[in-house]
Amino acid sequence: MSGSTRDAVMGRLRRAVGANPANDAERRAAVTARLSGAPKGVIPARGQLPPAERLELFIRMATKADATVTRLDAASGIPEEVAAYLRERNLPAAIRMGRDPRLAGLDFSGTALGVTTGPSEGDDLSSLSHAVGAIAETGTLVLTSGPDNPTSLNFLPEYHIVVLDAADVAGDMEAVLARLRQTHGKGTMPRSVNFVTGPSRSADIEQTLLLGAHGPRSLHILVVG
Amino acid sequence: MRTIRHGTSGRRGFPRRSTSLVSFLTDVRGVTGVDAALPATVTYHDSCSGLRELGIREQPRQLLKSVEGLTLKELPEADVCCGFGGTFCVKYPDVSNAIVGKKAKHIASTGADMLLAGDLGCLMNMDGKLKREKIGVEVRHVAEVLAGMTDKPPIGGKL
Amino acid sequence: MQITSQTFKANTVKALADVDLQRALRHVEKGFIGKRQKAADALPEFDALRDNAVEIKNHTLKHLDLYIEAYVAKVEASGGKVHFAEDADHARRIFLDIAKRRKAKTVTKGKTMISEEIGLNAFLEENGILPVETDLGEYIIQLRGEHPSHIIAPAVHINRDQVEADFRKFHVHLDPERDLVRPETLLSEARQILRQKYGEADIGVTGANFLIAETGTSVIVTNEGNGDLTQLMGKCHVVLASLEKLVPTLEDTAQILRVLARSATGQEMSVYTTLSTGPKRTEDEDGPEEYHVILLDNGRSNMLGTEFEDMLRCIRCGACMNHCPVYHAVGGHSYGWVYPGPMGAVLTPSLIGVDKAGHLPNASTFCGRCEAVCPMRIPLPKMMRHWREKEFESHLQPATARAGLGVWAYLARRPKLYRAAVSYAMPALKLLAGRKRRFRSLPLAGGWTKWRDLPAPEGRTFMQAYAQSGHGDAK
Repeated sequence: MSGSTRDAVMGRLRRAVGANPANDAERRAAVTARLSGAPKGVIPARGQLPPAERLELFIRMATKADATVTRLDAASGIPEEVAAYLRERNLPAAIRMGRDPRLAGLDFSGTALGVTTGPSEGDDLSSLSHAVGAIAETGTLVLTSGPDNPTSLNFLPEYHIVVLDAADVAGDMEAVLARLRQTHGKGTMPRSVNFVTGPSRSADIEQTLLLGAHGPRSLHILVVG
Repeated sequence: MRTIRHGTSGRRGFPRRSTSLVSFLTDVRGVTGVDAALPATVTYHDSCSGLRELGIREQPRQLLKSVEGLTLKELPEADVCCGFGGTFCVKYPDVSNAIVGKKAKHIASTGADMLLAGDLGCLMNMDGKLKREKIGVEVRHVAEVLAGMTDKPPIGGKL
Repeated sequence: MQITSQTFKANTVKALADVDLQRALRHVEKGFIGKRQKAADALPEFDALRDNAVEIKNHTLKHLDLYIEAYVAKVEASGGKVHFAEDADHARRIFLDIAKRRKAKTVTKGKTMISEEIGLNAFLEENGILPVETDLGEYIIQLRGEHPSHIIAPAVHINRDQVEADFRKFHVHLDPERDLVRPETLLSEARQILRQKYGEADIGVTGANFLIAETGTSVIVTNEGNGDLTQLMGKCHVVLASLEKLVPTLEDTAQILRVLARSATGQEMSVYTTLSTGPKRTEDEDGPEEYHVILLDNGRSNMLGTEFEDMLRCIRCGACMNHCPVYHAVGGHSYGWVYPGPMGAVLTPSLIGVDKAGHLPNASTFCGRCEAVCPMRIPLPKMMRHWREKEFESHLQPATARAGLGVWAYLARRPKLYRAAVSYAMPALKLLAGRKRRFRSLPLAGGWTKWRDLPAPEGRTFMQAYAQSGHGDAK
């Protein structure tokens, strides 16, 4: 059924766009060129800054989107910072994280934190993820799915803490996409790529903005480096 | 009038010889001020076709500021349609009324003595509503003020 | 859903008299317009991005057959499946086949207008499957048995006190004394109840803002995170999308994203932009076991290559309705089908027929504010005019209106005759108006005089005065 529908729909599309044997090669070449060349288009000047200013812009934009940001000199400071964050909010000293080697290498023994690993079933209050990158232009974090950082950790807990290497902050989304292409191969994507700009929110009741709709109420970013 | 440049609003089969009077004065004839006086507080409604099709916004305000004794009080939501819309206002009178009703409230809120606009459709619509609601604001075409003709009856509605 | 576009006029009369609705509609005017303007002003490249977004969509539409081919191949390569659906009925049957095979009892849903277009919820219920809307606004209107009145703010027609009353009525297992006055508590109650549903769902349904040909990816853009939980936690993810959602590359998506959120809510970027490609991978510890895309035509292929092709650029941001004085006055339900406001006035006749939706392109003041803010620069008023012409040509307008317009059109093309006619009509009307020189009612002008006075014409016409004055020179 779907096969014949596909033929019918595609036939109508070809007629509507004026496709015919004479222009077929030319049209295919145009499409192939766009798919392989992936032209960048208009890149706003806002994010095109040297690294230090780019990081400052990222922090400013993320804060504007209601995320909180703390800077750390080294990754070794992460456990204590996570513990302090939970303590200050009177949250249980428990955190769930994925198997990201950068997080697995951290020493939590100096804190009272109970650390669990693997995806969330929905009963964790707090989670810790590692971002693959960030976009300064909009204050956006970029996270990809996989056993290292299961996607459920980005959405189910109420408090989401994300580690970001300062060196991974890009100026614009296009730069992040180019990097993804390098990592995963042209035309191939991780199952899920999450661009996250601030904590979850809704304005569905009288256009009044409320944080923490279905995803995290709080998004805390630890910038390392 | 034969020499007026083409407006952008020409429609198929319609004489393409139309423009707005105000943009004719400022943009075509280079007029920057007028020799008129009106000791009154006025407010100005941007007609949709003037604002969005012909790009008229600053020109009437600039000319009005040169009228001696005139105070221009900006109308809240001056750029929002008055609800006239040609045949719209007679085909959907209740919707049109709701829109011009909001407009009348905004006009009243300015406390202005006089409402000006550059489009007769808008003027008749707003004047009709203000009169029906017994809101005492005089309604005139902006050209009447610029030409110093406010001693004569308004062209968009009667006092 | 039942179409009520035919009774648009009666719908508007009801809407104008609905005090709660009028109260709620004020939030549209107050909320969206200023935020969009601020966001646009904050990005100097905003208009250049709009131009490029138009280019991207125009290029895609011209090569839509080839981009769909490329897209389907990529989806299949990532382990997903694409189903072509001719129309609403066909899309529903495809969905039911998937649901039956999965023995689905509960279906969670992120926000999707295509689901509204194909009437999925009612169909699922008829077939013993429970649809659960998870977007807060959609959840509220599902409780009320209503349909969205706005494409991005589905419950914009409802006030807080009404939501509170609904929650008390439907969440009867919860403490009746609980405080539901603050929106925060309403939100956390919905959050708590929907939390249980995500994991229970056999299928999670979402829409798509974009389908990317380069990678076979579907993209959703949300603020709540409900769409993400829906597509992540449901054992099977079904994407409902229409043909024109295609874009060529990841970069093209990034370009259009920059104008989408700014035009919709005035955000620099929505909270969650999620790119989904295929089902759970072998090494993954979470994610759906199956990934399906139901690709719906339902009339779109017939718009391509016609005067309505530009409408296929629409990215469903809602800016046109947010800026529409008619929408502000009567709300989304008056339009009588899925898509309200100016975009609906063009799209609805295309999808359900101008015989049913003829009022919509007529019920516009042609103020042009929609076109001015449309990120994709869709000439909405022009296309409404196309529909008016088609409607006029197929004799769907009343005889009096046709005759009146016919006389006017004849005169308007003949300036001398027009001037002569006006110069006779004016004194005649003046006599009719009597001493007060105002009409409070006038035959054939009842629509005007019901709510407004009509001034009697005074003195000479401008052309007469201009000719007699002799001073044709401006200062």
